[in-house]
Amino acid sequence: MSEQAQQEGNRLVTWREFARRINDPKVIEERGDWAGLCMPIEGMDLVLEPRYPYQGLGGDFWKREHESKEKKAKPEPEDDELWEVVNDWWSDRLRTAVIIIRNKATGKLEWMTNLRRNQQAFLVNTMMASNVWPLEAERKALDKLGSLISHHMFLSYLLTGCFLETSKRSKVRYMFRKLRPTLAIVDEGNGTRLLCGLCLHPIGYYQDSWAGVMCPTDEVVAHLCMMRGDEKKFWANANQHPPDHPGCGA
Amino acid sequence: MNPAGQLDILNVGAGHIEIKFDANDPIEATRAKRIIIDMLTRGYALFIEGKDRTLCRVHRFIAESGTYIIADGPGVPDEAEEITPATLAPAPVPQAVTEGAMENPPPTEDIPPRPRDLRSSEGRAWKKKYAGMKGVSMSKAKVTAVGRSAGG
Repeated sequence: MSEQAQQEGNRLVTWREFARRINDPKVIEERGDWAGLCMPIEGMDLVLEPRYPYQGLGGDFWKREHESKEKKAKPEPEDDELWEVVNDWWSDRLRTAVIIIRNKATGKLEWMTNLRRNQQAFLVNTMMASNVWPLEAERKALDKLGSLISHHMFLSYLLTGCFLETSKRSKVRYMFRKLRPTLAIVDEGNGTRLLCGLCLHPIGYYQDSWAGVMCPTDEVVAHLCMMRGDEKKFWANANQHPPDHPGCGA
Repeated sequence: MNPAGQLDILNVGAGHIEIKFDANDPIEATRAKRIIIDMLTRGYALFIEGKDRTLCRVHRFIAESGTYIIADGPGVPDEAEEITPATLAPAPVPQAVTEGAMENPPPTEDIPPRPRDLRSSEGRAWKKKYAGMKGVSMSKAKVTAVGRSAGG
């Protein structure tokens, strides 16, 4: 690599560095929004909670930015204008979402599967989202989690990415996992049964992935706080994925 | 040692924000109260660390006295107190108060005394708000704030 190219490369700011700079605590306090600024990722839809002040960052932000420039250059009809979605459902047999679409001009029906909603896509998309999490956020979150759980549970989390805790109220056993929904497990007869995966992302998340806008351990801390402090609301606010759904990650 | 409260806010960025404040300092206390009310208005869930690593959800915050209202239970912290108008009286202001420290103070709430008959409409309303609840001073509590859920 030439020296000039190397110097240019050194001047470029990564997504991670950009996220760190604009979410400095002093800057956040001056802005008055405690959630921070979420980073939109190209090719991924960002879903935000309704009261988040910067809703313009939601959806596929970069696609809208590129499209607004391309449309001015050559306006052509897009796929959305030719086809409309009639129905969609989850197929246990195919383990993916099935979509029925209709051609607006001819009325012809076609079917397709949503390749973005399978486990492999979730894995890759989650890795893509990791580009915006600063490492020090994860380190700080680990310190916080360590103060909330026992040493043994913390070791289990560090080594396996998950730990178990039983609710004193409901006796449901929860498996808190990094970058996966929390599993709710009950004892039944001679064994255990997985009830569902509880998926809850504070502030926002990237669609078709297990990634939230906060670093992974901060999300685990949020799940733990909700379960211990208000278990009923935890279940009410979380999406309850069936065990065989790719969103459950089981 | 000055009484210090702590507020950890989980957010996007370089880790959660830690806000520590000295309750005896009127400027820090006012700033902390404003932040807490802002959090609750935006729909954040606040949790106080109690005994044996339990967490108690904050139902309301009384700005006048700087008191978190939590549900009573086995895990409430030792510092929690019964709710009475005396408990929720405004904290005494230190002599050396700088001018402007109380500019735009957070909104206050009047705590009515407990009605004699809890079966009356007034009594039922009071019971709904305060019965089974305890108060924890913000100067003694370590609180974690979790943002509203976007789903999953």
